[in-house]
Amino acid sequence: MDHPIVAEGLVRRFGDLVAVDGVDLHVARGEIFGFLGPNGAGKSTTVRMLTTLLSLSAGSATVAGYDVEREPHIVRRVIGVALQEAAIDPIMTGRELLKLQSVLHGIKGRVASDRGDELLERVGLTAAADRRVGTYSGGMKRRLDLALSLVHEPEVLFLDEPTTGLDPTSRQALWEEVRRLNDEFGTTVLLTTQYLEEADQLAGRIAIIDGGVIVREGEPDQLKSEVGSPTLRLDIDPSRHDEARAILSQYGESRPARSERVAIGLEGGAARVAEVVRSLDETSIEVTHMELDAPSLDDVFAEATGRRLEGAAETGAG
Amino acid sequence: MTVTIDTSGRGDAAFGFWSSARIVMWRGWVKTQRMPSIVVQSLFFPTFFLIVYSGLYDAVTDLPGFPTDDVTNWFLPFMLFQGAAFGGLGAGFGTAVDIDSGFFDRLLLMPGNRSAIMVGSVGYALLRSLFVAVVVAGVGVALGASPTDWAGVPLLALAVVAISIMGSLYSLALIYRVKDQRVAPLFPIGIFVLLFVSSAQVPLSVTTGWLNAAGRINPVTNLLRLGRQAFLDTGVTWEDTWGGLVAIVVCTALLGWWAERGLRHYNP
Repeated sequence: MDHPIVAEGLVRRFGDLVAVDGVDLHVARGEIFGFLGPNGAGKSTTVRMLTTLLSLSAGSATVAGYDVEREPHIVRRVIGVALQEAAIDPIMTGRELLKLQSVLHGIKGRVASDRGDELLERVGLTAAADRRVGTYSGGMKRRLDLALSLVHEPEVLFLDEPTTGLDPTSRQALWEEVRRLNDEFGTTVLLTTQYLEEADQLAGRIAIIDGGVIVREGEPDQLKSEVGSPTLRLDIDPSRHDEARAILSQYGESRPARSERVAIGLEGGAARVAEVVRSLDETSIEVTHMELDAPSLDDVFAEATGRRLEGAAETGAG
Repeated sequence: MTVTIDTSGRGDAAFGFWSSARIVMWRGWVKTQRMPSIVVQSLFFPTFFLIVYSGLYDAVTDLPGFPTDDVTNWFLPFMLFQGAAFGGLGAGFGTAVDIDSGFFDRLLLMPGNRSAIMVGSVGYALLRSLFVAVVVAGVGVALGASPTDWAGVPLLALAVVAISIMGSLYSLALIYRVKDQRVAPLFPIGIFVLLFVSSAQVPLSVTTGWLNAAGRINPVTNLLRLGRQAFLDTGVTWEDTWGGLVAIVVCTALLGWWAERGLRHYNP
């Protein structure tokens, strides 16, 4: 079984809303797969279906070779799940939650307590193990959540927005732990995120989802190279955007940008920046700020959807 | 360390059902110890009402055919029922909080039979109810309640346990369906109606009209008959026992089935 996660034509409807609309996924063994998209794109809904927390409206899916609809109990034995916003009971201690999670996965007694100690050490929470989780920082809660998901040494790990709301240091620490898990144990990881950097840093392959549909899929570098030219972003008086766009059209195609900016995919790259500025200057269009960026995943997202990921609107589903 | 994961596909029941139920129950009890305030409602009201009723309604025993001359003996089983029922609702309240916080998803991700979650919640609520029952019984004895037939005491205990389980199953059935903490304030309404539209306050023989009719078909009336035998002059009789036992079996089975179906269909 080379693909522990396989989904074909996955659909989930909530009344009239189609939250996930025909998603196909093939995640290879030992891969970190990034599922990138804005809030409401359908990432969490897809994860909830793959982890048996939500039934499928249509399509099929197998995890570790087991059908999520027909063999949900076995699927739950071989997956670890860290859900969005770390669902952790603040009244309990970290050690108590590990005990609870162990027993729920059929691990008891000394084995459970040794495993709990090992995981607490692994995620750097040994000193805080007997403190109530309500006193933990956001990063500590996320690390505990990760430890909880690893109690039974899962074959496939689902991380649903594992770093949302974390500070950069905590985010880095969690990334390192996920990488280590993947390197040392070959755990297959499906990670949902709305952070471009996270997908870029962690995932070997990504799928970009928007409006319940996968709009791009591949390796980050490959996707970025497909976008082609770098993006030139120019801050210009909004009253002169139309004039500027007309001038800039000779240097490359227009790209989505924030309201105060005009952006193009600059054909010929950095060598043509001076030429662009001169052209604008000749018509007295003042450029107050300028950036030239190599293609990013945000450009990939923009090229696929016509919107920037950071500004994408919420549409309802998780 | 290597943890062996069984993927043989053996039956759910074999996959740590009782240990899972016990750990869910243990969690509830740990939380109760750390937040004792969550038992205050189920403890305060029956204790308070027992004290007030014992002081206020002494004359009610003068009614013709009233089966005891001690008003505390009359009201103590009722208050034990009230404490048990509200203690039982703790299962639903706790689950509502877990659903709201997302913790319930963690429980649903257990590989074994998910009914263990329900059984564990009921067990935890039963512990709460028994704690309340011991305190309320202690207050009742201090106020002068005294069993007239000790053979009725196990029957009263059985009824208290059954009421707690029924309260749990009722609240769980509702929360599994509604899946929203906002339904929780509605839990006590059904309990209040069932407890008060029965022979809880006075014998059915002194009620009239719709109250009498509703009291006759209310299973709580049979449970009160069963439970009160320990404290009434008539003592334990089969006539007052069998109806309560039937009510326990039928109501527990129906509510259990309702809650189980709710849990099974939790993920639409």
